[in-house]
Amino acid sequence: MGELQLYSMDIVGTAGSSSPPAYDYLLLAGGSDTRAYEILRKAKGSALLLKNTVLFDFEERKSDPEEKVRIAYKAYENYDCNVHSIECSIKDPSACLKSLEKNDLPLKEGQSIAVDISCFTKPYFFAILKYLKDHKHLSTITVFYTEPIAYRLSKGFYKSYHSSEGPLSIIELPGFPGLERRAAKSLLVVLVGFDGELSSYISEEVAPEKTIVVNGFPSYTPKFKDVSMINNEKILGSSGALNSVKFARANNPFETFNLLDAIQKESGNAFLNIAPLGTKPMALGACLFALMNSSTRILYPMPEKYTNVTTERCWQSWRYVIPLK
Amino acid sequence: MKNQSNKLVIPNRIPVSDHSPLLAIDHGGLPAEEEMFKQIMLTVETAWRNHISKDQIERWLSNFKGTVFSKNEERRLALWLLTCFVYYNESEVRHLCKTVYHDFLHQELSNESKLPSYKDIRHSVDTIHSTTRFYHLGSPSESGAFILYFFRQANDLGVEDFLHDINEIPPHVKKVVFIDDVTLSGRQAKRYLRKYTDRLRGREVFLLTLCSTAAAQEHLLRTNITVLSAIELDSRCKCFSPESGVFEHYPSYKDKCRTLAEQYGRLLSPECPLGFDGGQYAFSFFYNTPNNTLPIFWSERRNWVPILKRYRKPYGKVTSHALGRFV
Amino acid sequence: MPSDDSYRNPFAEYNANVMDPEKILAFWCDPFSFARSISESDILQDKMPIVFMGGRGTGKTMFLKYFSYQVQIAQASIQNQTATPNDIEQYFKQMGGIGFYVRIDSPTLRSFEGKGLNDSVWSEIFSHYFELTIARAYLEVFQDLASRGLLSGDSFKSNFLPALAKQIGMRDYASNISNLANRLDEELEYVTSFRSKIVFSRVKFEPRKLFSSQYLSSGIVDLTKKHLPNLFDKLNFVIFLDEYENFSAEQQKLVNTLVKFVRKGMTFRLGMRLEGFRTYDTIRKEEFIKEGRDYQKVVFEDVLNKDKNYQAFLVNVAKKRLEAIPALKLKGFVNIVNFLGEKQDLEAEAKCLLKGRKTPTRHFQYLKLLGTRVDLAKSIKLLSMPKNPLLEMLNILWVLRGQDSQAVHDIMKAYLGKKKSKETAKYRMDYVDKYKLSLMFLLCSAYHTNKKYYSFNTFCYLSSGIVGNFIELCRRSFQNAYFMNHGMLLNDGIIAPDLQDQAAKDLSATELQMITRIHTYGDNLHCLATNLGNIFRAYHTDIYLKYPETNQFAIDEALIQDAFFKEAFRMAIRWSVIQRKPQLQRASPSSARKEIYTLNRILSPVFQITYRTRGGFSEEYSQDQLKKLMTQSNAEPQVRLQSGFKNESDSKQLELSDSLTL
Repeated sequence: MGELQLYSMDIVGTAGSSSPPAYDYLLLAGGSDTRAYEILRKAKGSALLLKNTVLFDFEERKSDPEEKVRIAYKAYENYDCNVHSIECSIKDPSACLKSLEKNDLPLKEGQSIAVDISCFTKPYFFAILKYLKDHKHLSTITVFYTEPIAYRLSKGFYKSYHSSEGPLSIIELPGFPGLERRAAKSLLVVLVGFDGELSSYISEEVAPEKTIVVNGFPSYTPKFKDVSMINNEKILGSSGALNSVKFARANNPFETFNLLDAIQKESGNAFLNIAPLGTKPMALGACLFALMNSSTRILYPMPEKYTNVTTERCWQSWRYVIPLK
Repeated sequence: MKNQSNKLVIPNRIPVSDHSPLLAIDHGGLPAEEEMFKQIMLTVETAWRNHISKDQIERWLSNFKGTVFSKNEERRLALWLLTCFVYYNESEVRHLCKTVYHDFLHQELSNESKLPSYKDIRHSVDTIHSTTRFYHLGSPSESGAFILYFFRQANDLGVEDFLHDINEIPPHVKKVVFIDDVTLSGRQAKRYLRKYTDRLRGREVFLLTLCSTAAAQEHLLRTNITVLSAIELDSRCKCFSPESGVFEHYPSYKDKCRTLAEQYGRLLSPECPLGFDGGQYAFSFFYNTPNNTLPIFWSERRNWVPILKRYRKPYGKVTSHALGRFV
Repeated sequence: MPSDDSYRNPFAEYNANVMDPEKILAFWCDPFSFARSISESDILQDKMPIVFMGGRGTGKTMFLKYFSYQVQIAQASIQNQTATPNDIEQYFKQMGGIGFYVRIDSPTLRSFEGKGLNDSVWSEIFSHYFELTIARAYLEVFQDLASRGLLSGDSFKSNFLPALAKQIGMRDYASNISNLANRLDEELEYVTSFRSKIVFSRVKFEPRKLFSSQYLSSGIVDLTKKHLPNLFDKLNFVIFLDEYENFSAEQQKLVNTLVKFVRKGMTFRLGMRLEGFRTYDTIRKEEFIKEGRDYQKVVFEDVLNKDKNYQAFLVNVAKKRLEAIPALKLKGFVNIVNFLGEKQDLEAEAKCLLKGRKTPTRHFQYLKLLGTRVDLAKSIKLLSMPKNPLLEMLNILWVLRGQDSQAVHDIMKAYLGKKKSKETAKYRMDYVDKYKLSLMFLLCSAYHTNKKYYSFNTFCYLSSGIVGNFIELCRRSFQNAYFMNHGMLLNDGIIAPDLQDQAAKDLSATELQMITRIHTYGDNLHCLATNLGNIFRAYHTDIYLKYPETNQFAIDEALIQDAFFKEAFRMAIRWSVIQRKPQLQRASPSSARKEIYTLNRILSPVFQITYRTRGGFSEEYSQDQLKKLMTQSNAEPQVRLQSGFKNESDSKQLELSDSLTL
């Protein structure tokens, strides 16, 4: 057995507590989903103490054509949470982080820093965590995530879920190029989500020699585990991955980490490419794995336009304590 | 949250946040039959290991004779319920066994780490291993025993990690862990475990299940039995509850589907037309369907053709069998 | 559920990238029977660079990999069970060359841009990276040759290795190929590490040795000729560079330069999609590459290939897959034509369409367009032919075009009685050669029903010269059949037309949807495809069949001045949304010859249009019209057409009165 660590994840309570956890800084994404400010709501209900909130103010989201959506975006103003706003573009995380640097916020070891990934895109929170690890040298960070009750389906049926619209471009997430050796077989590990087009697209562009599909299971609700599989049937059928689907709990990043670790060990010196298309906690696990294994490449289908509201209402909020070293 | 005895206390369920400005809209009619069949086909191929065929579905649909609504409408409603059904294949069951075991280890390690005697994780893992024994809930012919086999394999446990006889628990064993697939009310589990009260005295008792409900967990916790489950079934999993996920996008069909299930259910299972204990569930394992699931899926009474059969569990001895002419 | 446990979908796992050399050999089908412009020996021997063009799924990767060293060495081992070093040497000498398969995926290629560095810096870095990648491909092969005993002896150890070490920039003596390969890996790792660090901070690119273009890719070749002439003197180093369309314009300039100024002893084979060249420039401003002079082009994708060889090729491709399934092989179910049926049976389809309908004469309502000139009841009586509704449709067409109902009735009777005359000859020609499929579309339109797409012949056409499409059609058909009617599949070796049709429609819808995902231009191309599909559909529902089965258009690409739309148009070709016909044609009898394009026929089911290409009439578009097609919805055909019924109320009335009972 390698080094063992006890992971920490629990549900954020709503009831007032005598000593709620306190955070010097919460990094939060502006958004119109109900989940966007759920943590602020819980802090208001004394489940948490938040001293400062760094709001990533996305120009694309706050200027949505629908008024209802714009109003929902501004809902953070209803909470007294000492907001520092950083204007950014959802398409360019590294530029945003460079401007965060200019803001001179004391995000450093010794401070209690938290990130709510519920409404950050995956490229964004991957970049944030890498930045906090490599440039701010944090050893630990708390990550919040609120589960949705349901996902918005444009035609009310499974195959109609789309997290983004229009053209896609498959990229290496900046900072996660991995390390490919010539003789190594390329292995693509897809953490599948509901949007099956994405996995097919990535598989075609990357053309790996082997594909492993990881389904989030147990899922947020029991039926979701089938929805992922149905919507990804093309990659399952064309790559031969159907007979060896692997699983990791949808809301447990540490389980995903362990699974990726096991896959890496089994695959020898294969060049590991991970496409985190599934839940955000699973993506968080992949991020953690890639931060600790720099030879891993993270691939992502970068859209031109994200769908601004993709989920319905909130279920529970999780708190994960993520070791960055 | 932990109470003073370091047992896991189930926190109050978080109430649903309801202040979305963009509530779900009713998408109107259910999908066309062809669409639903396609969806089921893909589900069967990708997740259900080709467990059922269209022929079998058609035979099941032929049960709905139009006694409640028109035949076509009943067919569509039934198909929708089937589209939302959850079936756990063998790989998934194995994974659930692994998941719940890991949950157990995690919890116990978390508790150990707070003790003054704590050294390091590896030491604690060894300690937990050496002082824990696993056993099936219920009799050897019930599903708990069946699951126990997968549980051992999935977690790479040794034969000696299991009790051979519940009446002979080695003295150094501090934790006895029972394994079962489902506990939804906790009452049956409690009845089973009551038989072993003397033998279990002074030991921590756990029940690890693949699925359970918060109510079952709370019920058993009152008698100091800690329940850990890979899947917690909540109100969203009950087909006709206000929070049902089945009708998230088709709320106007809930009452009709309920009427359908109930009316036919009364013929099939008069005592519990919506499943044991008013279950309203729609799930099944590869080896059997629990009776909390709607009877329209599993019953064989009155010549009903099930789609996911439930193997009976007759209590007591059964003396007559269909052995055929020659034995 | 079926007890045939060995069954699995024979058309799953069709991506060449997941295939190891043995599988590539097992599934290899010779494409040269239909790609006539080149022979197998040319691939490794011809010194001129060759560009292989074809859309995704046409089999390019499979083709390129087939000629790679790894697959050829597997082939050599199969041919000669006890392959000695001498056997292997003779094998490659006979082949005339060694293939080095190189592929750099698009995410990697895209990472060589932005992040605060300008293009020229990235060009230099990419050039260095490219040289290392080629060199690494060489060394991988040398390692294998050495392990098989082909590279040994003094000349190798004392001359070649030290020279190679010096070329790579190693100061220390390299005792074996592995050390040199490791060194190259380290240099590649440095480039990757730089790409990671540059994201958040300014770092300088400072490798141990910066390799300029050709330094390694040609330099190493020269060393082999110089120091290992026995083996390499007459062997061509053939670099198979796949997915060239993913290279950016700047990256292509670099490789175009290598192609144009290819050095002796080596050559290139570029695999790319149609319109995969983003530029023909080289790094020297005044130089560019030109087909014929600098490279030869072979097009995999030939939409209009009526050649029976393409069908034979597909049968062969399918056979290899079917034979791999014991449950099918044992029963002799290895011919895809038998599973799918050879051709559509339009008469049967038409009869089935009308079967059980309360008003199976709805299509005669088309005659209402003639107003009082025709006695509808009498016409129905005269023109009816219940055994063949398609003949009824032809009769309706003739009457609409001015013929008298009685006369049409008489001609039909004569035709059915096999009487020969000028009129029956025309009747026959119209029915059999010209309009049968069109009549089927009209019939379906009359009953608001979709035309079915099924049969081997239809699938061949729908695949549009793209083998991957054919395989996917088969995969989905088998998938449907296994669930919906596995008895017929496994016991009779047949897939019902309905299930094939479902597969075709699903794939068609998926392909249309996927167009939106094409980077940068996805939305425009989706708009284009939808507009074209609907325009062509209008021709198919024109009751006069003025231009039957129209599904092509003409445009002079040179006249597209707007850079965005020009590139969008080229992307449409690159992604096979539209396909260019191989020869210039006239858009109409009176117009000049132009480039003619068709919509990818895989989209035919979703738009309910023909899968064939009739030729004859094409729509013609200017730049402005093309822009509109790419940006505005609801485009109309250029020709005035008469669709369906005279007015809406007729249509609605018939909808209410007709109820289908099955």
